[in-house]
Amino acid sequence: MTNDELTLNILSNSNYAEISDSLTAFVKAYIEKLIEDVSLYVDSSIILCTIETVDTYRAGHELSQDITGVPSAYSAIDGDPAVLTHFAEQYAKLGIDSFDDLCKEAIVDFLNLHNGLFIVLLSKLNVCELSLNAPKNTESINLTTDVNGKITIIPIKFSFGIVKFLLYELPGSMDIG
Amino acid sequence: MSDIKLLVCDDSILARKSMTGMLNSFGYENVIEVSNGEDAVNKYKEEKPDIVFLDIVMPVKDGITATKEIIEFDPHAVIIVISSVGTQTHLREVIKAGARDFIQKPVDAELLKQVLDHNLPS
Repeated sequence: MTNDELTLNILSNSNYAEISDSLTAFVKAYIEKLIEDVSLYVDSSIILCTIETVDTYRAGHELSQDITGVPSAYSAIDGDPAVLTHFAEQYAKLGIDSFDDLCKEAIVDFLNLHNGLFIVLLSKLNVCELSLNAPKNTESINLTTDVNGKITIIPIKFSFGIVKFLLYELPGSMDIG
Repeated sequence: MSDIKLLVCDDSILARKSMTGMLNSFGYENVIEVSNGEDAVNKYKEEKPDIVFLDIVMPVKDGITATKEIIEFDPHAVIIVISSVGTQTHLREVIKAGARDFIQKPVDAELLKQVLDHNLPS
């Protein structure tokens, strides 16, 4: 199975099609690239759980990165520390066995890789030219959206538990076509 | 290869470990690591490495600014930018800043070897 076929398969076994009308083109492109990158660089045996949009979200630990430009967005990874530890080890393969600094570094390294590949894809498609800020690794955070904003929670199930990927597209619009 | 000095600058400890591991496996043992653009500029001035590998997105000072400052100090500096953000805009900025080459992350070892061989002083 090719990467594209695998991505389509994972998306079609989720609520992605049902919810996609309510998502912006930017968020849909982000989700599709995320599934591709997680499959390629972390684990191909994943299930995309129910995608939700919420107005507020409290993350236990902030492992995030801003995507800057038009549109701009806040992206983050959250989950149970034990699950995040497995995720970090599956990605980095450095013998990570606790939710320590190296573990958090590995998680934001994946986020940076995925976000980078995502903005490169948009650039190659001549959709838009975006950039990234350095990833953040700080204490817990409460996210609250603006009037028209929505935080999209993209939960991905691995054999060791669920990792939540968050994307908050800041107000603005784009047409990927 | 023991006289070749390489400088790796990336805020990600994973990226630095991976790069240094690959460079060591090619036989280059003299690899200096720093974690931001400011330290890269300072370390370049101290050590005058043969090649600098710079990430773009970093705290304190980004890779493009660091490239400009290193080239300003030494117009012959050999800088290879290695980043996940290889958009058209970034590529233009990297080349304009004076970098010799660009490698898209995740780094392919074979490509890294080719770029290294191509840019090392003969």
